[in-house]
Amino acid sequence: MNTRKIAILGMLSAGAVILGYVEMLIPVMPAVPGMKLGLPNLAIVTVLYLYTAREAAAVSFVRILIVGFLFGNLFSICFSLSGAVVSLCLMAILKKRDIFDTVGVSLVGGIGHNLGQIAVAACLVQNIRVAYYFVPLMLSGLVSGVIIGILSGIIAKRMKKAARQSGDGSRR
Amino acid sequence: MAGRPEDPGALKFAESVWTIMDKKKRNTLVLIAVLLVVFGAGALIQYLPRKGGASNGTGGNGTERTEAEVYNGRVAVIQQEGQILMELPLDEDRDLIVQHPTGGYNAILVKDGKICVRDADCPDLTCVRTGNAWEEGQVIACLPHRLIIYIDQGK
Repeated sequence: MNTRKIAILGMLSAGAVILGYVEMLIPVMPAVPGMKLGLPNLAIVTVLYLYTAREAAAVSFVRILIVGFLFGNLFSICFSLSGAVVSLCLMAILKKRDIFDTVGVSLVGGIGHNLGQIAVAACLVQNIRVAYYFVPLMLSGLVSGVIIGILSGIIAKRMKKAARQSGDGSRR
Repeated sequence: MAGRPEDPGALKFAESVWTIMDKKKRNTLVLIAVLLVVFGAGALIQYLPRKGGASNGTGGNGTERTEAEVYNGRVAVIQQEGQILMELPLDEDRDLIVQHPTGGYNAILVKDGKICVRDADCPDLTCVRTGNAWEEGQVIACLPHRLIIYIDQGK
C-alpha cells in the first residue's frame, strides 16, 4: 500500500463520514423509517471502482463506526452494518461480473441495503410485515442509486486520470 | 409526414442512441426498466386496493376520508419479542404503555381511529417519527424494543 493509496482512502473515508452526517440532516420521509438518500454510497462506489471490494469494505466499515460513535449508538451501528454487508457483497459481485456500469452497480447496492435492513428488522421483531416499507424504500433506492451511480462514475474516472497524469507509482 | 411526423424520427433517434451505447450501459438501462416494473407492480399491489376503497363514494373531500378513515373492525396488533401482546380496536381511544422486559417502554396512543407511538425511550425514536398508522397493512416498528404494531382487518 503506497502513500497515495493511503491518502486517497483516507480522503474518501472522510468524505463518506461527512456524507453520512449530511444525510442525517436531510429527512426524506419520516413516515418511512430507514428512507435515506444513501449519500455515503457515493464514496463507497468510487472506492470500489478505484480499487477493489476490499478497500470499499474498509472505507464503509470505518464510515459506519465513526458516524455510529459520533451520532448513533451500538444498535444503529449493527443495523447499518447489516445493510452495508448485503449492499457491498452485491456490488462487489456485479463489479466483478462487469455487466453493468456504475449506475447499475450503485442501484443494486442501494436496493440491497434496503433488503438487508428489512431482513434484519424482520428477524428482530419476528414478523415479516416490516416488508411493508420495501416498496417506498425501493423508490428512494432507485432514484438515489441512479444519481449516485452517475456521480461516482465521473469521480472515479477523473481520479484515475489524475493519478495517471501525476505518475501512478510514486513511492513516497 | 402527415400522420405522426415525430414517431419515426423519435424511434430512429432512440435506436441510434441504443446503438452508440456500450453493452454495460444497455444492461443498466434494462436493469432500471426491470426495477421500475417491479416497483410499479409492488406499488400497485400495496396501494391500489386501499386507495380504491377510500375513493369509493368519497365525493370531493378525498383527503379527509383517508385521514379519518372508517375504521370498521380494524384492529392494531401489538407484538413484542414475537409474542402478540394485545389487539386494540381502532375505534376505542386508548393511551397505554408497553414495557419491555429489559426496561424500555413505548407509550402507545389510539385516537380518532389511528394508532401511534407517542413516546419511547429507545435510542433512535424511529417508532415515534413513523407517526400514525390506520390502514390495513401499515406498520410501526421499534427495533430496539423488538416491538411491532400492525393494522389488521378484524373479524
